[in-house]
Amino acid sequence: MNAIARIAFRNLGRNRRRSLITGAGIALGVGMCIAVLGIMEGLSAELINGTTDGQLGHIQVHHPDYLSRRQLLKTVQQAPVLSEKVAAQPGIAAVSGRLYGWAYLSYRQRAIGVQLLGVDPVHEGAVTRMPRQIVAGSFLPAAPTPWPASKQLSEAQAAQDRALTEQAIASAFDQIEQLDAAPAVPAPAGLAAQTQAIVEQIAPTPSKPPAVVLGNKLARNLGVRPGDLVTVLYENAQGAQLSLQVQVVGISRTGTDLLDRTRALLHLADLQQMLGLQEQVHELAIRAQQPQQAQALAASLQQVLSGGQALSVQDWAALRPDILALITSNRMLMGSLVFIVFLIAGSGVLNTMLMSVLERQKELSMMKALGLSAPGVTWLVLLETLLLTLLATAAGLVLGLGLILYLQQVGWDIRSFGEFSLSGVEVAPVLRAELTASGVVIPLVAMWLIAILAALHPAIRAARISPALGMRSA
Amino acid sequence: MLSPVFHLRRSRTVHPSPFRWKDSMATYRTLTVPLTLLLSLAAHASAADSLPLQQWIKQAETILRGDTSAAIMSMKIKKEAYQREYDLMVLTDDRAESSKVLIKMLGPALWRGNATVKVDDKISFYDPRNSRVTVMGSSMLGDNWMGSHFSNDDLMRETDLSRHYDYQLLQQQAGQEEGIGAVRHYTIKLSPKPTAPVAWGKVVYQLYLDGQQRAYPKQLDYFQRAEDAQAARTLSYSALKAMDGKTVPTRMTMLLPAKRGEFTEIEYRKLKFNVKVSAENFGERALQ
Repeated sequence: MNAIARIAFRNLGRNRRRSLITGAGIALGVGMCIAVLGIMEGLSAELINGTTDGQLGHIQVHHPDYLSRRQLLKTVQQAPVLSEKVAAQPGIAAVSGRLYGWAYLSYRQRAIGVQLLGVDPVHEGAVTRMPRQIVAGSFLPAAPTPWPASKQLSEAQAAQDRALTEQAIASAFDQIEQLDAAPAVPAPAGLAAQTQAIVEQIAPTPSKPPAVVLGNKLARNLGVRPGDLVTVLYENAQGAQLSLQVQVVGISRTGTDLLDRTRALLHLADLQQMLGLQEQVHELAIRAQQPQQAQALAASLQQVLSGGQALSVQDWAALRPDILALITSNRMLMGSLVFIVFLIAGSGVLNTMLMSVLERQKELSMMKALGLSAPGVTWLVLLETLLLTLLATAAGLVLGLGLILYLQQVGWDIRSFGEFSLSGVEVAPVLRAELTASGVVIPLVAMWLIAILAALHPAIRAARISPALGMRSA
Repeated sequence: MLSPVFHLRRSRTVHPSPFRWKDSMATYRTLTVPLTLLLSLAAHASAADSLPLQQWIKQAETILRGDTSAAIMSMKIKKEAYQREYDLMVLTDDRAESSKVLIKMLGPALWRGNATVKVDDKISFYDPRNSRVTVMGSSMLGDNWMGSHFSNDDLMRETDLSRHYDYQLLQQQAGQEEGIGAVRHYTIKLSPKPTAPVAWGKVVYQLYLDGQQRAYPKQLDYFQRAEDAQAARTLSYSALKAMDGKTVPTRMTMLLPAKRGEFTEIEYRKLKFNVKVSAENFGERALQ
């Protein structure tokens, strides 16, 4: 046994150049596969992080019907209490409530339909990168805009309002009667002022314009800069159309085109006030301490939150199945690539070993004549292959790890290929590899298996040589 | 240089050879016979089958508008989540191809002074609280106006039922209408023309004619798809009254059969036709 191993090792050295070329092929194949898988893992990780850290979070809680139709009234009630309850669960790193709305944003002559997103500036930063995506100005201030409380009209005030309406109607009657005459009738004095007083009581305006952060493309399309006042025209939860002046404090850039084109961020409390949805949110975004645990954590949260209002808890993979599908399809693509590379390397091994067996017919016949059994010959050839592969994959491992280390530290600059995004998630301009156990073990094991399979045919052929015939033919 | 050539040509047409003349006469005759036959057939068919449906619908649709109009109306909205009443002044100008509409809100306080204007394909919204005009594109037309069941399109009348559709008479019968007396009811099916820019797959229009052959709208059923059995919404006209010397329906009610108990009702309090309005009445200054 020991002798066979020694012979096998010596045989490899007999045709150094051939062994070296085959070995180099194997090493290069393994090294490159490790590096490519590392880059792929890096890209997948970036896709996941880009999705979860950008806006999604690891887990989200909604009203069960909210995601399908996004109706304003399908909210999560008593959000502050619920957030605290969720945050107290083990494995939860942070919780942030969010409220969505739709509006027209106008500045001078331009108006654009936008999505309003109310976030809690303090907690949001612990769940996603949102506060750090600012490219100009600043993020939302931590404190909400002071907003006087709305008061119901008293009986007398309601009567006054009705009287004012009658007055406006009478004035409109006059205006219609006198349309044919030249000048329009001016509205009765005091009507506007009294109306203003009533409106201020039932729907008070804040003491200063609430802060808003716009996506960079939205800001560019509107032509606004931090500091500008824009008008929001929106419909509140009671179906009333209202408008409000807000001040742009910052410009954000997420890299996701849709968000950068249509998203306007407001303080959660401001948007709750505007929409008339106090203490309510549409979404709780949750950061898990261990992202890999998201699915299990979502399931346990669903258990914890059952009993109260109906809620649905989903992890990022359930919320963005497209990202998960993208990652899976990338992995499959890479798997087939690895397979093809190893098929080529395997045919190299087959060729080498077949040549070496045919060249050594006389020698092998002699060994058999001296008493080496047929399985012994097979074993010899297999051992030669295995030794070659082991040495070569070791070199490949060093090469692959070196490449990954380099790609981890320096990265691969793909800016020359242009900016691109996958499924709406912008890919960083510099790709960075990520080292995982499977990314190393899979190429190694696959290479060994293929090498042994490739060596089987030459090995069996060598074992079948008849000693007498083999010695004579040479 | 040119005139001799011209003369030559003209002389040819003016004096055709006798042989040619006879020839062309023969062709003319063979053509005329089937042509006149066809024409008379077509005339016959239209007399039997096509009453001036389109004209009636146009008349019914414009009964509350005239060329120009000024109106004061109240709007009552009843929804599951809220109910609300508005008082409105509405000016319309349909003299040009693209109509102009101004809706000014008179009450209650929260909306007093708010105005919506449609000029060309632009909808502007004015809020007196911050004296701002927000200009929106025509993509807003399908949205509900101020939380009511009427869309901007309904109130601004961008889509014209008397165009864009094919008309088919489903039913007709004699009847009575309060305030008019004997009338004749017609039910007409409107199918959008293939290229029509309309939102509905089918509209069933019920109207009636009085003794003077004036058309009044009765009820409109809007269907999402042509094959739908249940209407997506129903608009009915009622409460005939004399306004500015003309008998008109003064109440419009929009119902959604899918949402029982919800409706929006418009009631005209004053209506004046053919008032003198100009572009100024729909300009930015009129808003303020």
